[in-house]
Amino acid sequence: MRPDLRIELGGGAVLRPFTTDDAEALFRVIDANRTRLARWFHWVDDSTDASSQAAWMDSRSGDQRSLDANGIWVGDELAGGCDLVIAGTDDSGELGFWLDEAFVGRGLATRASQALINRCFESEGLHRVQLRAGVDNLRSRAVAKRLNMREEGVLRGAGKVGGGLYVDLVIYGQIVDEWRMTVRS
Amino acid sequence: MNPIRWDLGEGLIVRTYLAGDAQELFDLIDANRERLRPWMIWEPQTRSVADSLAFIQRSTSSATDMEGNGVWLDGVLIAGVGLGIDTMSNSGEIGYWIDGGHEGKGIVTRVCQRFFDFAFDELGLHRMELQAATDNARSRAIAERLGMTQEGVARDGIRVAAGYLDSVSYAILEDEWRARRVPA
Repeated sequence: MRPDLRIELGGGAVLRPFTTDDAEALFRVIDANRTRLARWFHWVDDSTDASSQAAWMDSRSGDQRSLDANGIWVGDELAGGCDLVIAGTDDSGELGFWLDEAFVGRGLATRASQALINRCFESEGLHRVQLRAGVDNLRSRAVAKRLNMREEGVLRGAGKVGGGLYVDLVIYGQIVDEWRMTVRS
Repeated sequence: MNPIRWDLGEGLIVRTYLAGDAQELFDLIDANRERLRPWMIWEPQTRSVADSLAFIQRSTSSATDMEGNGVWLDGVLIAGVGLGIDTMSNSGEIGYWIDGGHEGKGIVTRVCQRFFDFAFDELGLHRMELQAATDNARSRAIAERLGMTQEGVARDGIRVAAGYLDSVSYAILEDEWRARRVPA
């Protein structure tokens, strides 16, 4: 995570990394959305209280390369999360996001994702960004399309979700050259 | 992770690298540079025995991954195999390379089969993946012999010395692997 990251997303929305002061708010939003989120994310099962969220934030602080553990804030309200994890030697980043149900449908995931993609191509030297979304997660897949990412395949049983289940994931990719064309148009 | 040591018979031993293997590992990479360079970014990054030693130390100190394993034939190192483990998705990724003088004999396939048994039976993984550059026909043939399914192509997904290569994603699921092992 990058403690000093802060990106204005328009309409009073801001993307910034979580701090341990946010642990209680993060737990409350996850807890309120538990059933929705568990369809797509196994980490919901690990969210048991505010201190489990603080421990997760702490575990991410050692990775200073990734643009991850970010919250999307609308005013003082936590609306969701958006991450771009950078690992390995392939100059590739992995995008991920989730939203509180009350904030779905406002374009927040798309704007936050676009902001992180812009950042990683403009100043982090990445060559490729990818996103993996549950085959049936139509909202996430719609975000990938709005970001002009290209569908590249279906990874069978590659997503572990809540309750010890697995789902097929569609993989989307965007290469820096395609991003330049997208930004220009 | 705990070190492994498997005797596959016919003089083949697979085991986790030890610090004392650094010279032999470096020498084998050095002898195969031209063959490795098109596919493996770590080839140009391996310039000295110290680099191989650093790789061995880094890979064997990981709490989850098992990236540093060698294959010995009659006491001579001939290949390397890495197993990466993603605890979040309960899946693994295998990677391999072999000395030019020993390819074409099915050795990598046999070693991968043992790794898959290990991954599914002992680690309890749900899925094993393999990434191969689109043009790496030999690597892709191994994936196919192992019964893996081609699932997609991550465009420019692999960085190598010359730039970026499209990466074919292969995978096999636990139940598919078990079904293959049981004769029909």
